[in-house]
Amino acid sequence: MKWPEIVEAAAEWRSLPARYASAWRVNIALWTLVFALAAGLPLGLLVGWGWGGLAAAAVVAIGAWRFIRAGRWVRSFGYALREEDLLIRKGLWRREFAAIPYGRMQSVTVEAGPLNRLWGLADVSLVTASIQSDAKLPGLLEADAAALRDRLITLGESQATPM
Amino acid sequence: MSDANTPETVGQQPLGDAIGPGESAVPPPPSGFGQGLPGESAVPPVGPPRPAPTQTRQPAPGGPPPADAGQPPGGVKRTERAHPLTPLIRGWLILVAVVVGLVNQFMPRVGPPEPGEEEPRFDWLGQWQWIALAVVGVIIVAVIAGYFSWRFTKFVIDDEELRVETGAVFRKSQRIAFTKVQSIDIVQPFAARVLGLAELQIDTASTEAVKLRYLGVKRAHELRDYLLNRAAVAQGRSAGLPAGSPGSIGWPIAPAATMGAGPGAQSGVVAAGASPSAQPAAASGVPAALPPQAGVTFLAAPAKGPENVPFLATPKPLSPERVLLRVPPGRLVLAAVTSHEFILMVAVFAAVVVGGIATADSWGLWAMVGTAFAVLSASGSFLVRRFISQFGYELTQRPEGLRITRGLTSVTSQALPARRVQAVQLAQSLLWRKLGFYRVDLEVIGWGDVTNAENKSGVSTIMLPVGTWDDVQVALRALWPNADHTQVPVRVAPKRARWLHPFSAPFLRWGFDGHFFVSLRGWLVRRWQLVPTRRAQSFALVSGPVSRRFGLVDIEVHTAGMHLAIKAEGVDQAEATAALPDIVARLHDRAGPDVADPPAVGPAPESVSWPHE
Repeated sequence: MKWPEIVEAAAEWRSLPARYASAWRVNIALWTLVFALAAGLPLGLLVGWGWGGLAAAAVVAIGAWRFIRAGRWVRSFGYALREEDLLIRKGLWRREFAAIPYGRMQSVTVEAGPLNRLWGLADVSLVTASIQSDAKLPGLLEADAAALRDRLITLGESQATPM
Repeated sequence: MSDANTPETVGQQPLGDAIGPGESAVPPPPSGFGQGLPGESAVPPVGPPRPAPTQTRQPAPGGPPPADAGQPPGGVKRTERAHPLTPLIRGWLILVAVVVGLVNQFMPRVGPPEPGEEEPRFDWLGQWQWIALAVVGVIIVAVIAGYFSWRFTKFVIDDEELRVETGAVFRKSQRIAFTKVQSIDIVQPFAARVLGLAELQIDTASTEAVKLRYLGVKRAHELRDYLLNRAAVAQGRSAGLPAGSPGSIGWPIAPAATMGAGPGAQSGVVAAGASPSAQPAAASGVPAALPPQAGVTFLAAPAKGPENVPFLATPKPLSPERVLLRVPPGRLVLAAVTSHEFILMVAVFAAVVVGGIATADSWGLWAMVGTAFAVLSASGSFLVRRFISQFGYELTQRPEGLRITRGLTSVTSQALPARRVQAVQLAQSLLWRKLGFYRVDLEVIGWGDVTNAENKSGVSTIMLPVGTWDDVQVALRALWPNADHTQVPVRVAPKRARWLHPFSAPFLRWGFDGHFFVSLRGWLVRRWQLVPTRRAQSFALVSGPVSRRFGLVDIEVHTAGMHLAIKAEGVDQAEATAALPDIVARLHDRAGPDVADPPAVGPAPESVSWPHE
């Protein structure tokens, strides 16, 4: 996992808390279970349990792969709060480097599902006028998330660009 | 749009609070007012519900009310009724539906009984009497319903507010904040056109436009001009921009020099509005004394506040306009016949015929005939609808902005809000390459539900249905007078991009400068995508496992729109990362004039860096 130097040097990169990997793993496991049932049960009932088992096994295999890679994925995620923009780099297979100026921010949301709350984590997303912007910082510590939200709002309001 | 976070709204609050005593005594509208109106929801809830977005409140004009059209002085409400013929249009539709329904129901049974048949199943005379009675009944009900609907429809339009009241049983009162008025379009559906009526569509950047239906055509134009001016004042003041600066009201005012001295340019009129000497005249508050182009002068000097608003007086004469582009009918037909949609239909037709002949049995033939008939009728209606909807296309420049008029049966006159345009796409299909035709599409914020189909009438995202490269330049220069997109230096995709984009690779280009991000891509349909860097919301470099192997990345530019995906493909990774700091810096660059502002200097020299042949 190596980013071009220019990206590395762009800012002080922060990473997600290590315990988010645990929350993420449980999340993957639960969804894998749901998908495996959704794929396996109908096939098993209608066609045959051999096919159902095969479909479920395929889903489980994908889930297992993601489960194993979860730690690396979380470590691959980096974000940087710069003077005027938020930088995000992420991904193992599909790598993405994004820059979101604070001035384009319309709102900031902090979300925490039941799983995240177990680990005391919350997701912070910066919402712009574009639905394509993907500025979500998953699994921050709850206190950090609230502080970040307030900081982003302040930065956004001071740099707002008119539509 | 949650504007609530922007400093504009924040700044307006104290302004409104400061104005209290001078405000005219208007009771707040009944409950239910403002429901579902985004302009209202954007105002932060402060204490008791406020009847008005604060910036639209103002003291009653001090001096004698500016000349006009029956507007009483002070804060007395001025209500506008729908045209009395309005119920006819709706009644007409109902009647047609009823007649068609009845005909469908009874026509097959009409006729003399066959000799072999015992007797008619119906007493025909009685049957027709019943039908006539039903039709008359429907007409009476429709007329009564239409009358009540008309009776309870009111448009309150004055310097205080713009409110639409409808519904006899389910009353609805909708109030529109002048600051949120983005554009106003005039639409004439066929039935309305026959009766000489028109509908005003007020776009507030929310999901649904507010519709005033129906008004006389002349009245519709007058009201549009008045409302646009009124909105300009509200927005100019609330924007907090320097007084008198052109463009401070949100619409570009192009000085004559901007557009070049085309033949027939009404340069004197337009220039009058932009010249500083004209401003004191407007500021003196005597609109009646102004020359006929008062509307223009007024637009350039909105800072003095609403006292200067000529009250429903502005529109006559209608604002001067200059036609920039027209599409001749012949070209429209040629373009439709050579469009990729039509070619596809022809290809399907050919495939069906060949397939039918090849199978050469009766089933195959019948299937062929059926499918061929369906394809033929589809392509015929495609041609006709495209011709009807795009007929008489005209792009005109008016003091308050650009405007597009088009349509044969239903005429649409659509404002083009230059500052809300987030991106532009030129598209050229395979055959159009030989003909040198382009189509120009707009990505406008708040136009998520506006159609981009060329064969539909009404407001659409199409800026130019078909035009030559020169036409495209005229259109884009009118839209963005302050920047020349052909000046953007572009980089060609590396040779190895062929592995990922086998057909489009030779065409792939991308680049950016202080004004635009551009991307050229596509194969069957080539696309030129332009985003003013200031309108971009965010951007991302993306590379999948395969493209990383080739050292390629895609650059996505995210815009506030629903129609276009702006993306540069097959970009050399080293180039992209080297340009990263620059691209990011462009997103932050807020200094200097906007691309939609009038230019500071003369027109830029022609560029050759753009492939378009």
